[in-house]
Amino acid sequence: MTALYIASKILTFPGAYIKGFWEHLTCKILGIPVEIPGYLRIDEACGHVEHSLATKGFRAYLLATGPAFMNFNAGIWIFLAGFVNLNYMGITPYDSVGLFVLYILMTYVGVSMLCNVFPLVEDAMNLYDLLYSQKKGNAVGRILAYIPTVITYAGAYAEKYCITLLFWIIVLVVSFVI
Amino acid sequence: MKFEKNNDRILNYTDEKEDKRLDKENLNGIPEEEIAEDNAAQAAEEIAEESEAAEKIESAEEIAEDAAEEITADEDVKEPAEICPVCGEREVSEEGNYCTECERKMLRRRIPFLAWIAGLLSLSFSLFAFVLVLLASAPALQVIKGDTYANKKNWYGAYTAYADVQTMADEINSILGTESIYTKVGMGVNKRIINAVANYSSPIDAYYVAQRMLTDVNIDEIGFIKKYKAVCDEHDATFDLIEETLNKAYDENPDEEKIYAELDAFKGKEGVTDLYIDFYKFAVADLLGSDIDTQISLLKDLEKACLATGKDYNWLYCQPMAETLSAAGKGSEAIKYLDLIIENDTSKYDAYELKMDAQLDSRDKDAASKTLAEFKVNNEATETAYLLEIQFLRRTGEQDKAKTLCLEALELYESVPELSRQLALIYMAKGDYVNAFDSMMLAYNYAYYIYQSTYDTSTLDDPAFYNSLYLSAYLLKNSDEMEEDFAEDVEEILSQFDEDTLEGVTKEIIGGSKTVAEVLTEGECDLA
Repeated sequence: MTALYIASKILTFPGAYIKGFWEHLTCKILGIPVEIPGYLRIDEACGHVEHSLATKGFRAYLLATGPAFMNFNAGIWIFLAGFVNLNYMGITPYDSVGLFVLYILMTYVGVSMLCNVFPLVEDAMNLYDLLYSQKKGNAVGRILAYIPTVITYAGAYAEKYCITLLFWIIVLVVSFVI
Repeated sequence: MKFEKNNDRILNYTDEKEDKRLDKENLNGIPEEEIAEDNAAQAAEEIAEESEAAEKIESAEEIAEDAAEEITADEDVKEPAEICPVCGEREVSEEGNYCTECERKMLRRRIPFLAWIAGLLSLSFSLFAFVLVLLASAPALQVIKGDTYANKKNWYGAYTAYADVQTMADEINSILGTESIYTKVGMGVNKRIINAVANYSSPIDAYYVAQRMLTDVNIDEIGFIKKYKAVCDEHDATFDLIEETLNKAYDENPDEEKIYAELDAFKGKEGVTDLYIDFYKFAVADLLGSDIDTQISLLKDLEKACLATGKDYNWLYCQPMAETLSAAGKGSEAIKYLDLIIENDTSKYDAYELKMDAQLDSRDKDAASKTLAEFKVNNEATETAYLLEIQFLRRTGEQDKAKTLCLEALELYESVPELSRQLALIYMAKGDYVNAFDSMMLAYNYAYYIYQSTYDTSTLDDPAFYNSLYLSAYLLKNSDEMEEDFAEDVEEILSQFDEDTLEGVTKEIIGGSKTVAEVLTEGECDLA
């Protein structure tokens, strides 16, 4: 499974690398020590930085969702720009080779960023544990953070087992081939 | 744990001993000497036992002490495990996972320069992408609208939606004040337009549209056009060979049987697709006004030839078959073919109109009403939905409702010539010839505009249209309402037509054998 995970990260390396950057930046901002800064390492933490776990609820929340927010919001527009122009505006090499290549590239980079949105399972578990097992943080915050935490938790597992990559591959195949 | 077990053992042991002693003291009916002897012996035993127990207690205490020492020794061993996992030398700080030195180093660790570049590039690329999405959003939504119609097999709706994509892209460019490459409409949209034409009309028309639309590229090399080109080529190859024979139908006294025999002689020859021979035999019969049964028989031959190929040739024979059967009064049989057409294209106005007419001819108003409702659902808020309803109301005697609906539709679709013509027919039936002529002139102007902008002559060439135009001018000229203002236009219209080209019912009205009201309120309520 780890090999498959690493393969998926290598396949989506632009997104994995940028996700690593957002994670590192978030750690720096929150003052969380980063043990190993390599973003594309060949191990189960590929596409992430190795850092110590956050000890406060809000920090854990920001660490789990902050990089996800950045990668998703940057990735979705890049993906849509490529996808809309290829799929709906129907740009083909007959129209312009340059534009066609640009939109293919945008679709790929966008999807690669959307495939690298969620944190490591350890971070998601730590977040859930701090907020809902140890009940750290105020009650209103914990209520508001519940749905994002559950999505992050599920997404972390989905990313671990390459389900997000599979989902995006299906989306592209259905849109362009079928 | 070991310590506790030893203590338990010790306590159990002393309790058992005390119990045994008490049991012996409570024995009854035993001689005192025996008791004294026994006591002496017991005392000696007890002394021995007590010394033995004392030894055991001592050893137990030693065990307990050993155990306690072991526990404290274990605790002492744990301390050296709290070594920093990174340097492996210093102790971990109190609140952290690493030693202070390593933690400081980690916190100071810089983000790689390449990562900064990647992160900032992703943000700027995302901003650029956002602008691209904004530019393409309106035309893309129009394409999605077209796709929705296409999925419902509403090919006319799909065609009009796709055709508006280029208009939208042009509008965006005019707002930007530049010919942006990022609002370019690509081959994918052209493909959708051409496919919609193929489904709405025929593959041959689709190929002609492709030829007109894609002038910058060699269309014969484009994959999706090849199938339409193949159909077009097989038709054109056959037509080129039989053209001379077909022209004989325009001779002064054409020999129908001889033309059929000559056409049949082409069957099986190289470059000839036999089913087109059958199609043109029917076309000749239709042109020469052969009897309706002959026409039906020729169409049945064509149907057999089409079905034998195993390919979809419904576009070639279904509509003429339905029209011919309908003209022969075989409405129910015609409806089978019309349903085949509707199954493939829910926007086919001609098929729905014919089906509704056939149902009204057989006085099945409920079925006709259902057909109208079905068409309105499939073609919501389109000019064709209005048109079919106006025709239904006219045919069912609801002239006033038809007029109201017509005026409402014209507010939305003023440039649709058929709507103005329907209004003209309503005015003619009511004897209001000035308004009828006005409406017909409006229809004529728009039809002429369509011809000028698209070279589409289908409206101007439609017998129902030109008969209505002629009749509206003729009726106004011969009425009391005729004024100088209209005279020039009326004369111009009348001069364009030869009475021989007019339909039978128009001639009957001009000849006086039928009144306008009779023609426009009975049967098909139309002039052709």
